[in-house]
Amino acid sequence: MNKKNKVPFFASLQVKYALSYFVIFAVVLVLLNTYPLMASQELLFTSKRDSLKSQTAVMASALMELESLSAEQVARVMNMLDSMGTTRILVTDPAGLILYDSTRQPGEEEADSSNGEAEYRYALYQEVVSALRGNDVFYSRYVDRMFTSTAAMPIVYRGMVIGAIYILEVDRAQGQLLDSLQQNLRTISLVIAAVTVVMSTFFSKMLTARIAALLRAIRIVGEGEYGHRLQPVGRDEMAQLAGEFNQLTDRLQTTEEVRRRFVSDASHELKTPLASIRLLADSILQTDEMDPAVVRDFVGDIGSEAERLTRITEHLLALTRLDSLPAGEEWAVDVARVTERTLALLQPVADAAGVTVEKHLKPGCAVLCTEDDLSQICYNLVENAVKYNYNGGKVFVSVYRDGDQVLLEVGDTGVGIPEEDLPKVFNRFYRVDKARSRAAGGTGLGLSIVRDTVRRHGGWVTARPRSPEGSLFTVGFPRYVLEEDERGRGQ
Amino acid sequence: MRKKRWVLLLILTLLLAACGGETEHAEGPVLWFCTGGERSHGPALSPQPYQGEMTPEALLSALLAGPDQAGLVSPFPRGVAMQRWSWDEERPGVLLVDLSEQYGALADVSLSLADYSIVLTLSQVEGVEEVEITAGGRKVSYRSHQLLAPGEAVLRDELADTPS
Repeated sequence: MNKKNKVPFFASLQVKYALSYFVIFAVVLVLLNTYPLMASQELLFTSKRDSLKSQTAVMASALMELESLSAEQVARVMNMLDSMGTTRILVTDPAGLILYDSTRQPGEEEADSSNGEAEYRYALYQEVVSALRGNDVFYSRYVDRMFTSTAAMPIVYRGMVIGAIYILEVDRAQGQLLDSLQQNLRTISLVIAAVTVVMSTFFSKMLTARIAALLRAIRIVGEGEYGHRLQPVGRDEMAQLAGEFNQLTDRLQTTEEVRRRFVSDASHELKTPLASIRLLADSILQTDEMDPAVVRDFVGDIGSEAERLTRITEHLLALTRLDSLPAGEEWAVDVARVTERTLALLQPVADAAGVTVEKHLKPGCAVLCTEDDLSQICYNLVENAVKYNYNGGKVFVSVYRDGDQVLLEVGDTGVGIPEEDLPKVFNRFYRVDKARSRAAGGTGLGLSIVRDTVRRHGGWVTARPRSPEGSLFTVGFPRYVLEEDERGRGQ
Repeated sequence: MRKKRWVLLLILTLLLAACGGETEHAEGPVLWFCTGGERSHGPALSPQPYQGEMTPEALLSALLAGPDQAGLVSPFPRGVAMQRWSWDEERPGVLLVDLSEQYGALADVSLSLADYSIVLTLSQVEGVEEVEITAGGRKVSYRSHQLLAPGEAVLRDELADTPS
C-alpha cells in the first residue's frame, strides 16, 4: 500500500470501533462505580437518620419527665438508658450549657467540681443551637471510610424548650462495608476494563479485517485483475457486500471481455478489407503490362472493399452512438407506416435478389420511438432477410397488435440459423456463415444495432427458426395508446 | 499552543480547588459572629478577619457593627452599644465590659452565642483571660456564671470532626 492510501492510525475504522466499544464500557463502568455506592450511601443515611431520630426522641421523652434539667438528674436518667452504640450523647440546658456528656466519666465532673469552681462548657454547635431553637436536626456524612452522623432534638416540657439532646454516631463497621463494596466494584471494573480492551481490539480487528480485505480486493480489481474474487464469510452485511462485490466484478469482467473482443473483432474486420485493397493495389503496381480489363476489375474490387470499410465504420459509429448518446426525444410513431416506407426503399434490393416481399401491416400500431430508429430496425431486419435468402425466396413482414404490445415480424425462406447459433446472432461481429456474409456485404453488426436500438426504446427482439424453413425475427414494443384528440385528428 | 495553555490553566484550577478544601480561618486577629445560612453541622460561631487596632474598645465597636462577610450574622439585638470597658483591678486578667440595656433582652442560647462571640473576640487582646459582661450596669442574673472564659465555648465536637 502506498503512503497516499495509508489511513492515519486514529482515523482508522478499527480504532474508531475499538474506541466506541471502550467508551460505552467506560460509561457503564463509571455508572457501576458510582450509582450503587451512591444508592447504598443514601440508604445508609436514611437508615441512620431514622435510627438516630428515634433514639433522640426516646431520650428526649425520658428527660422531659424531669421538668427542669440539672446535671445530677440528667446523669441519673441517662445512666438508666441504653446508649445503643452511640459515640457521644450530650444534654444541654436552654443556654447550651452541657449538663451531661457520655464521653466523660462521672468522676471527672465531680473532680472538676471539687476544685470549688464548677466547669462550664457550652456546646455551641449548629445542631445544638438549632435544636434549642426548637428544630430537629440530622446530619450525616461518609468520609475516610466512616459514617459520621449527628442528630439533635429539643427537650420540650409544656411547650417550653428546657434543653437539647445531641447524639453523635461514628460508624466504622458500615463504612468499611461500603468501602469493601467499593473495592470489589473497582476490582470488577478493572477486570471488565481489561477484558473490554482485549475484546474491543479483537472484535474491531475482526470486523475491519473484512473491510480491509474488501478494500484490498477493490484495489486489485482497480489495477486490472478482474479475475480476483472475495470469499464471503458468514451471512451478515459484510458477506452480502462481498457477494455484491463479486457480482460487480463478474459484470466488470464480462464487460471488459466483450470490450476486448469487440476491439479485436473490429480490428480484424477492418484489417481484412484493408489487406485486400493492399493486395490488389500491389498486384496492379507490380504487374508491368496488365490487361486493362483486369485492372478495371481489380480497381472495382478495391472500390467494393472500400465500400465495405465505409459500411463497417458507419455501423461502428452507429453502435458507439447507441452506447454513449441518450435516446432522442420519442414520439408516437406508426410502425406500419414506417415499415411501409422502409420496404419501399428495399424493394429494388429484393427485386435484384429475386426475393418476393409479402407484407401484412395492421394500422393503429403506434409505439413511442423515433422514426429514424424504427426505420433502422426494420431496414436491417428486412435487408438481412433478403440477403440471406435464395433466389425466388420470400420475405414476410407483418405488423400487428398483441395485447398491449406492437409486434414487427420479419420472416424469410432463406438459409436459416442453426439452433445453437440463435443466442449469438445479436453479438457484435458474429456471423453464422462468414464467407456468405462477406459475400453478401454484411458487417456482422446489423443485428447488434437492431438489438441495441430496440432495447433503447424499451422493446425486445428475438430470433427463432421459421417453420418450415428460414428464420423469424420478432421485435416487440409497448403499444402507445393515442389520446382521444390525437385519434380524432388522425381520423 | 492555545490548547496547551487551557489545559495548564485547568490543571492549576483543579490543583487550587483541591488544595482549597475546608480552609481554617486565617492567622491573625478575628471577630466572632454567628454562622448563618442553612448549615446543619459545624460551629455556631465563625471568625471574620479583623485588621483594626487590638484594643478592647476597637474590637467591640467592630463586633457590634456586625459582620461584613457573607454567611455571618450578628448575634446582638439592634441598638446594642458599648457603654464602657475596664480592667478589673482586683482580679488580674479580667476585663469588665458594660453594654447598653438592649443586651439584657437576650436569653438562653442567643445570650450564650452573644456572650461567647464577645469573649472569643476580646480574649485575643493581650492579658485578657476572662470577661464579665453587664447590660446597663447590671449583671444578667439568669446566666450560669458571670466570669466567662474563652475555653468554655465548645465550637465543634472533636469526635465528629477529627475522627481518629
